[in-house]
Amino acid sequence: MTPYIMIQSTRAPYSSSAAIDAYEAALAASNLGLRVKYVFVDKGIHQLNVNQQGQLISHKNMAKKLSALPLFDVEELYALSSSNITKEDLVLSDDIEFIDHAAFVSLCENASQTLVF
Amino acid sequence: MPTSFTVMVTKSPFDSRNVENAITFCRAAINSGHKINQVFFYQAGVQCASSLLEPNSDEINTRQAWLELHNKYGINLNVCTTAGSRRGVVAMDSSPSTQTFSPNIEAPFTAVGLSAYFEALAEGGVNIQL
Repeated sequence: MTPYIMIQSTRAPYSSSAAIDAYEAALAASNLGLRVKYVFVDKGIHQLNVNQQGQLISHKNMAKKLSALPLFDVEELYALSSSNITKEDLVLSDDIEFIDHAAFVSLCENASQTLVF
Repeated sequence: MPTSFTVMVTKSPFDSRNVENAITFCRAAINSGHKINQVFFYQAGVQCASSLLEPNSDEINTRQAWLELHNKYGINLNVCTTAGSRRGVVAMDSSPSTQTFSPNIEAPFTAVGLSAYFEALAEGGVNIQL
């Protein structure tokens, strides 16, 4: 199996720069030809909420940014969250795989490197 | 067998103990025969590189500790250019705006892109994030 870097994005979209930092790290890794698995964990899943309006607080829409991930060859996208959010509420809904805790642990165990933002 | 570590520091010097722990980790790893191939400062961690830091004399000076690690063991101290620019931690050549104020990333801290970090990861070894 090709080694991969696991990037966990755990923060809400506008609570800090963490969401952007994770996104930029994924793009940089992919740009070098590294395989990236991108996991939205806990509040991180709200970054994908299709109804967010970042412009109301003078921020670029995080969901729109994330929509570009597959264009940069970051195509292995996962979500682990206990919130009631559903796929229909998310951008990239056809690309996101909802996983349970066991699958998340397996992803962690098999990653060559893990970064948490 | 010696392990090669890449260390990512993502916290500022005084908001947590992460930076002190990172310094302690680097010292311990080297003293145990391992290698630190680079320390990469990202997110708020870029503030570790600012030459404008002036902690009180009775507080730990983490920037000085990084300098000592570099001088003694040759550890590369790389600072993310983008994360630094967002936080006012800039090198002379990282932004045209430095023409209007003094840069505060000084050698041996080096402003680099995220790619420098992932190139090190691609070479193998173990990544530590603090």
